[in-house]
Amino acid sequence: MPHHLKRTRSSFVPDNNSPVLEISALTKVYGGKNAPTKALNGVSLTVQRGDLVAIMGPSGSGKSTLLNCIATIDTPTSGTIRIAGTDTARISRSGLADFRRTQLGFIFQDSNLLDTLTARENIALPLTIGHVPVDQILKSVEGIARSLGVADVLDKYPYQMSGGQRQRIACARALVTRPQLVLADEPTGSLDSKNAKLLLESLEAINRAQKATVLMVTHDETAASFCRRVLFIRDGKVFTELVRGSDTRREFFEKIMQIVAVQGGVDNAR
Amino acid sequence: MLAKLAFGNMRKLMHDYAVYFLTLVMGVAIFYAFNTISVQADFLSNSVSEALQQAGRIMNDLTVFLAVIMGFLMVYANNFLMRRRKKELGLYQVLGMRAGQVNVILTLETLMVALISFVVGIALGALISQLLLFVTADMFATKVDNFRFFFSIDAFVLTFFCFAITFLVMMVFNSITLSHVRLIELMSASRKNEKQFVRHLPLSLALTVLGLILMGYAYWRLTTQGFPLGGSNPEPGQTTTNDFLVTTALVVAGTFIFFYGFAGSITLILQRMKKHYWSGLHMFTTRQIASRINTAAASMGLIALILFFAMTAMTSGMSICATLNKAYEEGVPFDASIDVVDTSGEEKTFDWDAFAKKAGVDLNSVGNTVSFRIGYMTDGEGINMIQTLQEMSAFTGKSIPQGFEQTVAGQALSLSDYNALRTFKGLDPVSLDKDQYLYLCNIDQLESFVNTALEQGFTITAAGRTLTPARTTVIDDNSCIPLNDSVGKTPGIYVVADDIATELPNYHWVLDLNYSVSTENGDLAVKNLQDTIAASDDELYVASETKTDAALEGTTMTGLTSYMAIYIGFVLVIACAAILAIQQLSNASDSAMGYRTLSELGCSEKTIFSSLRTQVIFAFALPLVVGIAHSICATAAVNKLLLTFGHASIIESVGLGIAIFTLVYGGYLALTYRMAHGIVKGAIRSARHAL
Repeated sequence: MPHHLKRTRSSFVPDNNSPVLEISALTKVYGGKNAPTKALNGVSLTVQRGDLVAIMGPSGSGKSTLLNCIATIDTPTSGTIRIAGTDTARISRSGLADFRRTQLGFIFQDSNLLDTLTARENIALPLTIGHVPVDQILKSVEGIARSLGVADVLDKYPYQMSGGQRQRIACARALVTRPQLVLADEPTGSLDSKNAKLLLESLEAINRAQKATVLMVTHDETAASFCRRVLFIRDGKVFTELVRGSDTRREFFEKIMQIVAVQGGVDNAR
Repeated sequence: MLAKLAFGNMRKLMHDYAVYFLTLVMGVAIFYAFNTISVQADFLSNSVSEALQQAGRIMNDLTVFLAVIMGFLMVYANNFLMRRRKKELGLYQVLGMRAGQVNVILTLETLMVALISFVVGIALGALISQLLLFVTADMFATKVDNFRFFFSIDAFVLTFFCFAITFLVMMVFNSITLSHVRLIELMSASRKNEKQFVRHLPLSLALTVLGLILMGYAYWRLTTQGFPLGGSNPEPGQTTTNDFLVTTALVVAGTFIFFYGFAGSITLILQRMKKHYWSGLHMFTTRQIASRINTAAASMGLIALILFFAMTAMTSGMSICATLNKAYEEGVPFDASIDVVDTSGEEKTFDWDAFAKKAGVDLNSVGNTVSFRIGYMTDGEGINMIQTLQEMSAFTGKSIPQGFEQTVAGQALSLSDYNALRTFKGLDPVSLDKDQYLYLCNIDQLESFVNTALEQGFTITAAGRTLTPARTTVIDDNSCIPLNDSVGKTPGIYVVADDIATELPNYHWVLDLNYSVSTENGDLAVKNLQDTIAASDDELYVASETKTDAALEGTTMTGLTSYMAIYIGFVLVIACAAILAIQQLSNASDSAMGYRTLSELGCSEKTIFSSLRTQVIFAFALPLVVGIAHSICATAAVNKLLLTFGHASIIESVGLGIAIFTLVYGGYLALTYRMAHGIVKGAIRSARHAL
C-alpha cells in the first residue's frame, strides 16, 4: 500500500480562540487585463463558532465565488481567508484536500451523492478517506443519520430515495466529520417547501446541539429566516447585514423580505 | 445547417471517443492489409505463391466471418454512444427540429465517420500491406523479388463491402433508437440518479458458484472426453458431436452466469473484510466495479468468450504448426524416399535397377540407397491386416490408450531387409530366431501398452507359424521410420524371419536415398525415376517424398497458420478492447461529477486516480482472465490430441500470441486509462458554478 494511504487524521490544528471564519478585503477578478470582471470587490466578514449564517444576493452578486473561495476550490485575487486561525492561502496544494476533509463540510444544491454507494457508504465517505477506524465510522454514521431522521434509509441507494432524503443524507455526510465550518450552497434549491423546511429544521437543531457552524448561500428567504444572521451581497461587496436577535422566525422573515424588496426596487429603478 | 451540425458533432465525438475511431481505422486497415495476400503472392517465389493464392481464398472467407463479429461489436459500440447522446437528441427536438431532421443529422454523422475512417483506414492499410509483404516473405521462408508499391483492388472491394454493411446496420439502429424514445425520457436522461442494478447478494454468490461449477464441469468434460474426432458417425466410446456441443453450452452458460453473479459476490466478500472495505476509497472502488460489471455482465461475458476464441485459435494454430514441423524433422530422415504400391497385388518382386536404367538414372552415382519390401501380417485365412492392438488388449486385459482405438499396426519387414535398413542408418544389425518377432513402435503413449503384451509373451500367427516376442520391449530407435512419411510416427511394425516375410502379402516397396550429388540433381533424378515407374504400368501407384518437399510443406503450413492466427487474433482483440475502452470512458464521464465530489470531500487526486486505475485495469483484466482460463483448458485438450504426433514445445508459438495480446490489449488499456484520467481531471479541476 502506498504510504499516502497510511496517513490518518489531519495535521491541521484548529485554533479554538479564533473565529471559525475571518475574511478581510477579499477580491476576485476574472478575465484578462482588457476586460476584467470584479466578482468580489473587498468583502470582509467574520463568523463565530456555532453561528448559522446566510448569504443572500441576486445572481451575479459574487456569492458563489465567495463560497468557492472559502471552500478552497477557488483562489482569491487578494485579501485573506482564515478558517479557525489558518490562512487558507498558506496551505500547500497537496494539503488542501486534507484541509477540506478535516475542517470543512459541504452541502450542495443537488445532493451530489455517489450513485453506486448506499446512503450509509455515502455518509461514511469522508471518514473512510481519512482512514478513521471502522467501528468509529459506523457509529458516527448511525448517530448523525438518526439526528437527521434518515436512519431508516441507510441501506438504500440514491435512486431509491426521495429528494428530501437525499439532501439530508448529503447533510449527514457534511456533518459526520464534525467540521469547523459547514458550507451549504443553495441546500434547499431543489426541494419542495415541505422537504426544505424539514431539512432546515434538522440543520438548525444540529447547529444548536453540536455547535456546528453553518454558512449557507441561498436565494430563498424562508431558508435565510432559519439563520441567526443574514448577509446581503451585491456587486461583490457586503451590502447590508441582518441579525435575528430575539425575533421569531416569522418576524425575521418579514425583515429579510423588506431588504430583498428594496434590492429588487433598486434593480428595477436602474 | 444540418450538415454543419453533423460535422460539428462528428468532430466532438472524434475527440471524446478517439478510441472508437482508432478502432474503425485499424479494423479497415487490418482487413485490407491481410486480404492483400493473393497480390503479395506475385512478389514471392513460385512454390510459395501457389500456396498463398489458395490462402487468399481462405482469407476471404475468414474476413467475412471476422467482419460479422467486428460489425456486431461496432454496432454495439455505436448504440452505446447513441444512448449517451439522448439529451442532445432531445434538445434538437425541443428546439423544434423534426425527428426526421434529427435522423438526417445522425445519418450524415455516420456517413462522415464511415468515410473518414474508411479513407484513413485504407491509406494505413496500404502502408501496412507493404510492410506485411516482408513479414509474409519471412514467415514463408522466402524472399521478395522486385519490390514495388502495390494496391489490391480485390482487398479494397472486400473491405469496402464489409464496412458498408456494418455502417448500414448502424444507421438502421440509430433510427430505431431515435423513433423509440420519448422526448421526456431524452430530456431527463442525465438528471436522474442512475438506477443501480443490484442483485440480491446471497443470490449473486450462488450464481458465481454455479457459474464456476458449470465451467469446471465443462473443463473436466473437455479434458477427459477430448474433441469429437469421430465426426457425425463416431465409434462407440468416442466423443460425439453432441457431447462436445453440451460441453460448449456448459462453458458458455457458465461464463454468463459467472459474470451475472460476480459483482455481487466480490461486494459481499469485500464487505466482510470490514477494515479494508471501510478505508480510503476501497468501498467506492468496489462499488464502481460492481456496478460496472452488473450493468455490462452480458457484454463482459461475450467479450470473455470472444477473447477465449481468439486466444485458442492463435495458440492451437501455432502449436499444431510446431508439432507438425517437429514431426517433419523426425519423419523425414532421408533425402528422398520412393514408395511403390502394386494395386494388383500380383507382383512378388520389384526391380529398382531396371527402372533406374529405363529412366536413365544411375542410382549408385546419385548416392547411397537401400530398398526393401513392407508386407502385412495376416494369419493366412484372410487378406485383412491383423488388428494387433485389439488383440494385445484382449490378451493383456489392458485397454488401448485413448486416441489409438482405430490405429492399424500390422505391417511387417523381413529380418534381412530390416538389417539392411539399420546398416543404412548406421545402426548395428540385430538377430532373431526363426519363430520370433521384433516389434517397432515409437509412439510414447503406446510403448508401455505394447511392452506389457511383450512381457506377457503375446503370440501372433503368420504364414501358419506361431511367433513369440524376441524381446520384452519394443524397438523405439530411429529404425522405426523406414521411409520419409512426414509424420514420423510408427504405431507398430513386425520384424520376422525372411522365410515368413516372403509368404506375407505385399504392402509396398520402398527405396530410400541419401544424395552424394547436389540436392537439385538428386531431386531431379528421383522425379525422373518416379515418372518412369508411373508411366510404365497402370497397376503401380508411386509416390515420393524428398526433404525439399517436406521443408516447403512445413514452412508453408507454418506460415499460413501463423498468418491466420495473427489476423484472427488482431481483429478480435481490437474489437473486444475497443468495446471495453468505450464502456470505461463513458463510465468515467458518467461518474465525472462523482469524482469531483470526492475531491471536494477532501480526497487527494492521487487516491482518486489510483481508484480509477484499479477500475480500468479490473474491467480489462476480468474478461481476459476468464478467457485465458478457458483457453488454457482448450489448448491443453488440443495439445493432448497433438501428443499423438509427438511432443513439441509450444512455448515459442504461444509466446508470439502473448506478445500480440499484450501489445494490443495493453495498448488499449493504457490509452483508456489516459483518456479516463483526462476526463476525471477535467471534472475535478473545473469550477462547479459558472458565475
